[in-house]
Amino acid sequence: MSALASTEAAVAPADTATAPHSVAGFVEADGAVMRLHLLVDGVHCAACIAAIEGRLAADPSVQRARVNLSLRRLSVEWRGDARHADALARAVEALGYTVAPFDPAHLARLDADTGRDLLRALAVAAFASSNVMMLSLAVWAGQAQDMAAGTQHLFQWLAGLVSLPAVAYAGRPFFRSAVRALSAGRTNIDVPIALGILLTTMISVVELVRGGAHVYFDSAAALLFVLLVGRYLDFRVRARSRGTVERLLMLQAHGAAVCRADGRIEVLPSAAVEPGMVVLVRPGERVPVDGFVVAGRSSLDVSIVTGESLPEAVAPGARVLAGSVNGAAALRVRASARVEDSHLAQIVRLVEQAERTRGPAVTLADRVARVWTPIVHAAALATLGGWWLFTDAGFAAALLHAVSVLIIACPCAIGLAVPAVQVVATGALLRRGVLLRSGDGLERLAAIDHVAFDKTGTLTLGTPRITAWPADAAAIRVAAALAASSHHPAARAIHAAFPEAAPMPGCEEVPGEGLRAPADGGEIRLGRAAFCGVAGTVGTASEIWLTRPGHVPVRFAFEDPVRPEATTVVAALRSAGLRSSILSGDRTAVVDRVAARLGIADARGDLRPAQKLAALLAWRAEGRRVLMVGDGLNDAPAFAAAHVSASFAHGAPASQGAADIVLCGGDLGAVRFAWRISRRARRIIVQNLVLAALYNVALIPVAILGWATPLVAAIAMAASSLTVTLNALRAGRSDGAS
Amino acid sequence: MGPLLFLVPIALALGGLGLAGFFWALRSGQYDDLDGAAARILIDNDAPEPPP
Repeated sequence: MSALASTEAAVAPADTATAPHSVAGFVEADGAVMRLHLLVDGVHCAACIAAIEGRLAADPSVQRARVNLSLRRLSVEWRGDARHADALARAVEALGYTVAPFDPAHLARLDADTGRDLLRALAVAAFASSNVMMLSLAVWAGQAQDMAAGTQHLFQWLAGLVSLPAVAYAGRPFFRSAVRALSAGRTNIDVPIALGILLTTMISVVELVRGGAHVYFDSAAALLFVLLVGRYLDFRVRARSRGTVERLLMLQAHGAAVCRADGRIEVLPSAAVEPGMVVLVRPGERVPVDGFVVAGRSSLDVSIVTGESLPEAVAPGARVLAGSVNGAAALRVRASARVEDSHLAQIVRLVEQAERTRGPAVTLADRVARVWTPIVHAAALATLGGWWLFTDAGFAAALLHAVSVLIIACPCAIGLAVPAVQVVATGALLRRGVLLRSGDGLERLAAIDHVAFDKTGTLTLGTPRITAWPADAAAIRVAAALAASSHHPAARAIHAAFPEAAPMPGCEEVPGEGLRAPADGGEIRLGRAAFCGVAGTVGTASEIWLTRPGHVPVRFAFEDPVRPEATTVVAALRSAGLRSSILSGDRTAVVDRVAARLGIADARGDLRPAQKLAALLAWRAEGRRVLMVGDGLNDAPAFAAAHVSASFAHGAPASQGAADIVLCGGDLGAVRFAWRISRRARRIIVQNLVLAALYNVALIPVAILGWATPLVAAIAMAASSLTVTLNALRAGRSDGAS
Repeated sequence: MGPLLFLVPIALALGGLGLAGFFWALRSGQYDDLDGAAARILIDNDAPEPPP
């Protein structure tokens, strides 16, 4: 190791020490008060809160320390120096928790505001609907029992006075969504809802002013309340799922260690690294930015970036890509100037291009709304025409009957049918470690007919294992001793056979080639065939040779093993009728071997990100709906082009940002579980829509014939909502043997 | 009819008070950390004993 340090002058001894990560770069200064938000992993109960807050409050400069248990976030305010943040972070870590800086760049949108708005609208709708229902009950009872007409009118006026401002305030989420859809030239589920609410309220006001017998304020208020309950629950579950994904991203991002001109090392957020800055990457760390090596020799694990399962040797002048994991020794990397062909920028461009070709998602609920609204309006118009022209009831009565048709047909349950099921299904998935990032991901997952897998890290474990051991146990021991000082994954696998083997004195690692140590009679070498002076066997397995003076060279074969559950998962998907493919950046020979083992006919290797994207686009042009499962940076454009995409949590942050579904457990079986849940959810959504429609359809003739009173409308709405919600509870179980 | 004229507005006003209280609780951030609020009940923060 010491021989290596003397060849490159710029790698200082301090670089190899594992210094803790600094969080001082994330401090916000508010006058004299410093504020820092940290993500804390491992907090789950009152004792944790008390321990952390108590420990921080003991620090005299700290003004405020508060743990938010729902978000797992710690907020600290103190007076003094920004660098004091590191001492505070270390204090929390000393208690046994992991901390990571909270980087708002990873947050999707200001969800907190949306949640509060919905909650406020819900509260107003609850107040209005309960009070108006109180008045309505009195009126209904009075109609049976001779209430004076004056009292009835008073109550109707009071109901109107309460509901009008409530509808105007609480209906805003629906009105805004409907206006947004209409101005984009399409309709969604909120258009008939908004229309129904508006018409109900307007007609009720007209009737009120004319002194009519029936007003429908209670229907409008109750409709709003029920829909808002569904929407708020849906938002809560969705926000929790998305928040978990964002937390994952933030916990993995550690910032970049920038080397300043005066020799000190400062940790900044990765986004703050300017081209030209020199970044220090220690062994085991991820390279934070694209760039060129200026000092140090090492081997990089590029599986996340290109899919190549073998590490790549780098020396000064070599290009490194963000996301690669550094292996052997510390590197200093100069961030490359923002050129157009920067690798990350290329990936981002491909992702954007793929997303543009996708178009807005049309959910099942929107399609139902598109069909339902014209039918309902036609029925109402027919009622109006029928009553006015063919009977002698007069225009006012005809209008009233038409309005009651509209109200009975109002898609209250339809607005609840879909969110109720999604809430239950998303919750079931969350418990199994499957996170949904987008709302309609579940629906799209149910529609797939083709699954495309990435290979490295998705179908395989991502770290090599030794598959062929030599017969000589003494040779293995020598190899383990030699491998003890290396970070190369194959070396680590050999060392794992004899963990107690002490590193050999004088051992030196030549990155990308192997290890060597002096011994009697020459040198012991462990590494590639060429490095050991052996003619390697030609084949698809990767191999490491051990040569010792006076001994026959000994061979270790290693490969990236397939995940144990991969075979069953692929077989199950095939028997369910889904086609499978492998799209990989790794060498074709290796990919073919894995495909043969899993029984997948369509396997393509040596693919660049643009080629993966092209494959997805070609499938889409054929009309296939593809689920893309991957984990690396090179999968991100393919994610954006697939019908639905799933990423593993251990993968590159950029790929998780582009995926619809994030799999936390590292278990490929979760893909199959998620697919079955989504199919079941879709079946129940369709059942719910049918049930909701049944209620409406059964009662429309009642309304057309003029027998619908507000009482009937309210009962129908309550009954349909209840049925739909109870049916939705069945969505959490995956059916059959899962 | 007489009692109704003031009873119903009183009922509405009481309901309105509840609504205003909910809005205040929402604004002061009491709904931001529901899990934490549930857990904090269990924390023992006894007042320190007065010196004898």
